[in-house]
Amino acid sequence: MSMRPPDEAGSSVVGAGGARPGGPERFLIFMLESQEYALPLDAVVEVAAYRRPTPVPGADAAVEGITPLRGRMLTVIDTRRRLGLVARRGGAPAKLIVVREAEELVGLVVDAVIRVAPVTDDDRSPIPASLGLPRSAAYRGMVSRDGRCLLLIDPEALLGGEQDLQAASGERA
Amino acid sequence: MAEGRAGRRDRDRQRRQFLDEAEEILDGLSADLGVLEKQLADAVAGGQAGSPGGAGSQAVINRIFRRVHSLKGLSGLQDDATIPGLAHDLEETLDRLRSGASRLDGARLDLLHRAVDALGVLVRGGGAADIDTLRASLRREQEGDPEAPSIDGIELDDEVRAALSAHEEQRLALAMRPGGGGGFLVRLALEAGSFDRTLRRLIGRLERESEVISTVPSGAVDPQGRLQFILIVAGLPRERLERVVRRQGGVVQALRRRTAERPGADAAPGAESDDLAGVSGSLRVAVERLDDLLAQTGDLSIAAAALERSVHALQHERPDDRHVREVGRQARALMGRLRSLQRSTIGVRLVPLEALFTRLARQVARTARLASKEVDLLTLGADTELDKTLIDQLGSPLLLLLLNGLDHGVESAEERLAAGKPRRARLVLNAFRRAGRVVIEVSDDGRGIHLAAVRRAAESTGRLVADQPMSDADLMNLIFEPGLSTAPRVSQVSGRGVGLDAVRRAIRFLKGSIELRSIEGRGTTFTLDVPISLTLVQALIVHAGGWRFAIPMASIREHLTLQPSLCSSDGARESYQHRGGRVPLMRLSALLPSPAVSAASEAARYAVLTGSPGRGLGIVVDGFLGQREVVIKPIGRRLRDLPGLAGATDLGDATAVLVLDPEDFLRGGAGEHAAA
Repeated sequence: MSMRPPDEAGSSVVGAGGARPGGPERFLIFMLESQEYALPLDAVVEVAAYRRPTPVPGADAAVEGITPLRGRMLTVIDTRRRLGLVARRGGAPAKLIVVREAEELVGLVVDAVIRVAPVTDDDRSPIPASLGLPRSAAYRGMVSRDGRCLLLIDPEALLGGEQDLQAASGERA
Repeated sequence: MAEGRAGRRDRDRQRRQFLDEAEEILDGLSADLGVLEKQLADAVAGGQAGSPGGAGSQAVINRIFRRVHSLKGLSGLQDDATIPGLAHDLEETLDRLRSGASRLDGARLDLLHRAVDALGVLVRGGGAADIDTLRASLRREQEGDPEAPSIDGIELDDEVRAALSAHEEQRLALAMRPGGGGGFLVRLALEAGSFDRTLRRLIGRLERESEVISTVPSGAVDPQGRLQFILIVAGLPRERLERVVRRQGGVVQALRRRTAERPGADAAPGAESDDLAGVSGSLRVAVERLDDLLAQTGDLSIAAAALERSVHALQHERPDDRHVREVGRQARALMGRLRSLQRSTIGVRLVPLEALFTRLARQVARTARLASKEVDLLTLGADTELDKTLIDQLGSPLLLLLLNGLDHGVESAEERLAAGKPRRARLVLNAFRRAGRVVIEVSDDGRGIHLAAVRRAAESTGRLVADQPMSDADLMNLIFEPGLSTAPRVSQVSGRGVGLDAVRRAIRFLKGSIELRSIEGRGTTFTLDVPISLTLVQALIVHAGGWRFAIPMASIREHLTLQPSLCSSDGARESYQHRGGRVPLMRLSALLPSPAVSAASEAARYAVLTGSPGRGLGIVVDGFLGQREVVIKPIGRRLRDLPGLAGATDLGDATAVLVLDPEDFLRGGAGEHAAA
């Protein structure tokens, strides 16, 4: 159940299960624009190399397109866009975090995948409104550590409807 | 999360297995009830009091009993006790039917239908509202004549039981009473050449000392080519009997009475069933496994395509190297075999329409009986094969069409005779292959569609204005619009505003089409046209705006090289003067944000003509890249319903290529996109 360090060449597969019984929940930590974010390891299927996906006419703005992965078509979502962040510079390095959504797989584009770390309930604290995070409804909380803060993402909210996310965050669509 | 993923997976798998087997049993029950309906109808027509008797019905009822028993056992392993309970009551009723304690008539057959329907709903996880009433009805059936001849408590092979005459049953029942000496089954295998002599001599000998109640040829031939017989003998102690039959190699088995069944204390599930799976030579496979197999062959193809590219590059560099040439040949051969493998894998998902037709036939027969209409359903081409997913989704639309025809189309017997038609109406389900697709015709020889009535209905709902001109063909197609009903009263059979719009939507969803032909007074035919498989199609690969697309060949009428002089634009929309008429153009490149800025003002050069004459669309592309077979893979939920997409495929270089659905564009997507 260990996770090999992500390598540039390809993808590494994450084992099943994030929470060891009785222990803290484990998160996959990734980077967007020099800020660290975390997804529950439970939801993550694998980390894959990023290849430019084929755009799909009529799709949501946050959907970059589709790309084949292991014989299936993966919907690729621009995480920055979903979180209301600045767009990625074309050509900048990226990785794909493949997560489970109902019976399908979805790929989330991130800048880099850093590591896996445990987070206990004690570490967690709510996100203060003063931070002024866009799409605040996408987060479950934050962890302050070593002077840095780690933003914990709620995968369901992230993958849910765009309008719903904006509405839930109190923003106008 | 308390259960853990492994536990959940196991439960899911068990449930799927249960559903698989239960569905198969329900299919069989459908077929059997259909047969009983026919037998009942025949019996009624033949002037009997409406009770099909004889070995034929017995065999069917026995089969139904065995299936219900299997289902009871299967469902006993699930959590809910409702299914086993209902199945048990049904078993009791069936038992009385098969022992002759009660007769099969329309009312009882209806009860069976209701019970099977309820079982179906329960199996699929629904709640059947009137379970208690149903069970009460079933139990009422069980009170009956205690004097009836009953060998039904005796453990006998069903075919043996079915072969016994009433007299023989009585004799056996007497022999099996306490103090009656008991009965025995003697199994013999006799040489074909001499069996009649041998049998006669044996029976002669037995009859000197005992009673041979019955001789039952089992019809089976053993591996040594001997004919198998069963004798039912009574009135002789077992040892003596064994001695007598030993010379012929007979095996003696004492007949026993079944002990009373307590609910829950049942034989192992499936123990009664002698429908040996091995006999059919087929195997039930989960659809996921087939999909997985298909995905793997797809991946193999991709790897092989990469190999091919490398080989080409190598050949380019060393055109004279014979080893390189050889490798090229082998790579090509490999590709060919892989494509064949892919086709076979897709073929595994193909299933004949038979099971579906049988289910439909049962429903039609029952509905006809309830509506007191005399109808025959003729099915043709039940062996035509379709992808399983397609068949699953065709069931409801086909049923709706049939019930529609039954309700609105078929006239009463008197009306038909007055019109010079045969008394019994005829519904036909006809399936056949045509041009790489499957066509299913649903027709009736009823009253046909009364265009004037359609017109009146359309005017009354405001769909048409009085005196608004409309061709007969267009009027006919109004039938497919929601909310239009020419039925004067709500019908029990198919309801109001019959839902043909739902049928059309369902067929279109399957990338199929539906057309209607009708002659007033003569009948109506719906023609459905669906692909054999949604997955593997011949497609034209094109490029536009820097991206590749695949367009299924079945949707393409023509490739066009556009003459600039024949193109015109009225600002928002472009169109082309094709020899068949003016055709709107849609630029594929305009649909995507593309890396190369494609000037909309650039002259359109090539187009693919799709649609039907009079309703065409020219899809403008930058060029053609060739034609090949592609496997259409589904795209995710959030993208699936976007207009114009049939799915996506991988041409071998790990990039998704969108597969278009031109029909979709024609239906209205085109309007928006052309303006974009």
